Amino acid sequence: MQFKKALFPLLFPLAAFAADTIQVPVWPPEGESLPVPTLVAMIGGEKTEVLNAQGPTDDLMLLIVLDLTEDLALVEQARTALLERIEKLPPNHLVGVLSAQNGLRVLAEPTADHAKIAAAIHSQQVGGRAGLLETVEESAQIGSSILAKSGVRVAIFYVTDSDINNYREAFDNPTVNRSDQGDVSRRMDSLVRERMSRVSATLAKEQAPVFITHLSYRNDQLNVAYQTGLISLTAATGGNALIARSNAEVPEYINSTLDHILGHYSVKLAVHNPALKKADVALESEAGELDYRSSYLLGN
Amino acid sequence: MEELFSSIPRLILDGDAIRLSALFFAGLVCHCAAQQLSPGLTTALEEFRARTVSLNGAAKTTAARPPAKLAWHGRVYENFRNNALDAIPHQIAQRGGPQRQLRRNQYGFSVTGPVVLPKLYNGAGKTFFTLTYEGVRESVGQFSLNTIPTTLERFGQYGHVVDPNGAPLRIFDPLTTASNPAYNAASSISETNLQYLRQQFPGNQIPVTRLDPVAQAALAYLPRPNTNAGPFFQNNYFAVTPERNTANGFIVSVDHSFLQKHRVTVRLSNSTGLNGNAANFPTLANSNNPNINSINRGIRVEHVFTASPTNINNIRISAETNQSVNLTQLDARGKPFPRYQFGGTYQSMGQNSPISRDATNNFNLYDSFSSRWKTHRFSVEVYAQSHQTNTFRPQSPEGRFDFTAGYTSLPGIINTGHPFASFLLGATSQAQQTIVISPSYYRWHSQNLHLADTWQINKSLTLTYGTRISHYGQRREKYDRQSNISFKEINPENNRPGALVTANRNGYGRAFAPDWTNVEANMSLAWSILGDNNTVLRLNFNRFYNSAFTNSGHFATQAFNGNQLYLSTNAQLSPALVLAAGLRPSRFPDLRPEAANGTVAQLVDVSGTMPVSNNFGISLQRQVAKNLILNINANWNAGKNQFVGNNLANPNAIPLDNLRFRDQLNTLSFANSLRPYPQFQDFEVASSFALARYRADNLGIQIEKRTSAGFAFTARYQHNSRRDDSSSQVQNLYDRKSGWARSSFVNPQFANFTFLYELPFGAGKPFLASGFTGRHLLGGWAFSGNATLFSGQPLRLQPTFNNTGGVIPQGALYINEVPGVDPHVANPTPNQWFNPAAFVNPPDFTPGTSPRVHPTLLGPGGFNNDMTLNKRIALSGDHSVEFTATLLNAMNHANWNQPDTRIGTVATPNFNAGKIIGSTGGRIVQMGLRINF
Repeated sequence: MQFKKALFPLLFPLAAFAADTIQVPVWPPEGESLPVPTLVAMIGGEKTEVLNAQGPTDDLMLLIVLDLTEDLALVEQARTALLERIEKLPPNHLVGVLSAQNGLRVLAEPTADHAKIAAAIHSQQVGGRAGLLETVEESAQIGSSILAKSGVRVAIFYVTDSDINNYREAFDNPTVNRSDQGDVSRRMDSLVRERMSRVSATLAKEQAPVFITHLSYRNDQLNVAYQTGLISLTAATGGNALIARSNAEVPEYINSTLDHILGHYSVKLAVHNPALKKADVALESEAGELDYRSSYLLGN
Repeated sequence: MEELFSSIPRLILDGDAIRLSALFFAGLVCHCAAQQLSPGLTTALEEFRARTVSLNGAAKTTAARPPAKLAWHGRVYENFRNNALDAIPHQIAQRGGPQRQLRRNQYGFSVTGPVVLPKLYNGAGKTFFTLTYEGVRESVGQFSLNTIPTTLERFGQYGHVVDPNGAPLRIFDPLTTASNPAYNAASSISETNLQYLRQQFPGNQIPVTRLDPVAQAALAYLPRPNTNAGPFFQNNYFAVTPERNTANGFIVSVDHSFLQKHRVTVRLSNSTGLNGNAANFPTLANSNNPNINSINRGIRVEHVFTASPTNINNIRISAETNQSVNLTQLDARGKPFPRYQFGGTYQSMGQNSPISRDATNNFNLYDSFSSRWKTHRFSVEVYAQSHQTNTFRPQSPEGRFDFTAGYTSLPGIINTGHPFASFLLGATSQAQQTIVISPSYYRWHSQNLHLADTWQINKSLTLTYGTRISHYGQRREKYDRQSNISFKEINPENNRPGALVTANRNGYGRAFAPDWTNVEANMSLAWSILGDNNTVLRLNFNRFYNSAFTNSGHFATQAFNGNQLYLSTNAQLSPALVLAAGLRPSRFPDLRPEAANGTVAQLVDVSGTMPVSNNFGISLQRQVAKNLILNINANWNAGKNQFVGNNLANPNAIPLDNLRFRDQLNTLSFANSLRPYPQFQDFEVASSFALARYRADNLGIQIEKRTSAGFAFTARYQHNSRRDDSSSQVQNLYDRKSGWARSSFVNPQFANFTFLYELPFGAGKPFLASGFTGRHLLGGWAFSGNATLFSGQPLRLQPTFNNTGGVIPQGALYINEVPGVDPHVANPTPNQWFNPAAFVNPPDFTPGTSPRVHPTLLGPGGFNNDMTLNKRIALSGDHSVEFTATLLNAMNHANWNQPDTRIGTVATPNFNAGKIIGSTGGRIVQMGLRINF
């Protein structure tokens, strides 16, 4: 990998002159590595340059955001799974821990000190108000800023058991008037969907991928809309959301999400048209079909 | 150096920017050097610190936060409906009427954000408020199709009136009644062997001089027929009556977090409203429920204490009051209209409980403590409730008068006489008046303790088990104005068991029934099987008891608030009361042991029997593809000792073997002599007797796709099977097993499909994410729908005539099946939904032999489809505008009404049996606009 890095200026001489860039999270086919030099990139149908690519063994800054308000049993499983996996991380993978309950707070700065990470994860209380929706834009902005400034791989990973009904904001159009029998607004989930759309649209402007593992699969109408929205909003950033349907799935999904994050490449592409507001990205490689984020909103 | 770094935030507040940068950089270099980070990670860490310097509240210093910006979010909205957008409802179209009026405005706002008092308090990050208001103004025309007397009938002219088969209906003059000297008591009564002779009114017309003046005065409030839906003269009054509904309400809550481990929420709510009920008659004689004014107020205080990462306590205290007042129309004397009830199909006049005032107060204390220990999560929940209900609700303050055909019939002969003809003569078969001296003030309480453990046995197996211990106190009256019938007491009038007793007197407690204490168990198991976590098997078992009876009317206050009853000695021969004579004055309270004699005595079940149910469920959930989940589930439910009311519990019912006495049963004194407690007419048990059983099973399959390319859906099918002995009246109350049949209210098959499709255009979508057209015109559209398809409910066939001397109450008699005749038709249509020739009215004084509910015949199924189109326009920042169009019953589909299930005799079949009159439904459009900020 170090060799590839050294080759970059030679392979892509225009890199230093790029007017703007975007960072694309890319996953090669399972079991394959990404042969970066053979990567062909296009933005809006026009071929563009690959300025840089960071792979699974390269530096990573992982920001774990905890949004834990409901179930001690599920939370404990998530904690255990997180810590077991973090223990195995190499020293160039820094992990920061933040809390989403009652606003975004830093519990531990990004560090390779696993004891500090463990202490921060354990220090997070279960309770308070759900905060994913209120903090995900801010955390994605922080991640994107780090990504833009440093060029290292960055990922935001929310571990949440939030219930849509535990937000401060009332999404259920509460029954104010019990005498109103003709109301249909209360059986609609449009308030939730509207909020998720708003967040998704904002996240589409950010470049750091957001991942979510939700610890509790819920079936009521509002939470279905909420959890569906979580899938959509992570997809808008190139990340993904997994929703555990049983206790057994909690560690599995935590691990698979972390594996997914650790295994991603961050490919930096040149954007030559500074007026471009939307970038449709296409990537091709000899390794086969790639999984990557294909749509970016640039500027305003 | 760590100390140096931690000082940075404070320096920010001091505004020392130059010094800050230098120290900040120094801190980074030192920190990063210690970890030997790469240049990229060093830059990343530097950026992280720069971006989160205001977020280090917990780790660094609480003084780190900059002044919070005012971050209030919320919405303002308006939803409206207007009949100009709607389809004409099928009910109206079928009657040829114009569109009904519909105006509905639902508007409000909600705002949430930190509490900020300028220069005094900044609650950002710790104190938040939510204020929600909503108002509704609605005016809607409600429709009803009823049967009322024809214009000629009002004058006593019955020449044109026909029986259910269309043959002329004869009415007889009760004043011509005479014993038949040729009557042979050894043979059944028939037209050729009459016990009483009676002459038909000449020309089948009641002379004007015989018409009761009170009945004639009441007719002024009864409208004339205005349609002829049929059959014959039935369904002849169609009304579209305006109904007004208004509501105003707000909820305000404040949420404060402190010391990182505490959160306190205070929530206040207040709403008022007018719940309108459309009148079926535009006069004082309206028999629909009156309009109701309601007030709801509540306060809730909640404290969540996270003692440690493994221990949480949540305590909640709440109080709520609900008040309602009936707003009935009163006459010039300030009195409501009396209630006139006509046996058969005619619409009643006057309302039940026209005047009422209720206030219910609930006080609740709830605490739950959760603790994690190794692989267990323990929880303890305590819930205590105290209830108060203050009520003034006389059911029939101006009297309720029942009219049957008997008084104008040929005694003993069905299909003669008419209830309305008896009304014209002022001859009631039964009358009663509710006397409420003072309101009742009921009090009761309950406490629950729930212990549970969620135990993760291994990686793939989780067991949850628990138990709930509940105590339900029986209802008390603040001033002990409750009474009951005690079978331990001897009635002084006939020396038989059963006499009136009162609460807190003569050794009786403040409540008659014992308090309930029960223990419930529950268990559930989640097991990831097949070696992967994509397949989850779930099992659950619950055993649960109902709450104790807490009827809030004036039930069981008979000694204090009476129900004066007038009974006919023989409804075929003499009236219980003639309208023109009026009601007798009455005196209450009356605490004498014999005070309930001759009445429908109010009886509280003192057995302590508790309604209990058991539920067992199994489900298999498998992720069959990404975001696509298949769920197959089955549930078995069974319950016994379920609460039933007067129609299904009567300890004073006459056993059916007494039907052998045939027409003698029409004589009140003889019939009452056959009752277990002859001093009482009947028992009123409200809904307090724990007697019924049920068994309900269902099998379901659901496939759910959360989202993919903006499309999410859930498809569900469920097959339901339910049987009981209580979903409709049981013929023989002493043999409840014979009433075991399909539940008449369950749809055996049910399918539902919901979907949401977000169009792939606009910001964050694959196409047209930028540019005016893409972002503003084509972006932000979503289309969702909900379609439901269900089979019809099991049909309950009923005889047209019930000549059992009152032994089998109206509505309880079963029909007989005709052997060898198939009740099904090949292609059910509204003209013939089933084959009525397969059934027949049982003979006089004979129980029916068919099941209570038909085992295979179903009514018409139904379909409904709601659609919503949603357009979101993103404005600057967090602001957006959202437009919503909801189409309720989007396809404007009409669902058929239920078929006529009344079965006649061989001689007088019901012409209309098996036929369906009309259908219901109509598309309604609701438009909405919401501004989010």
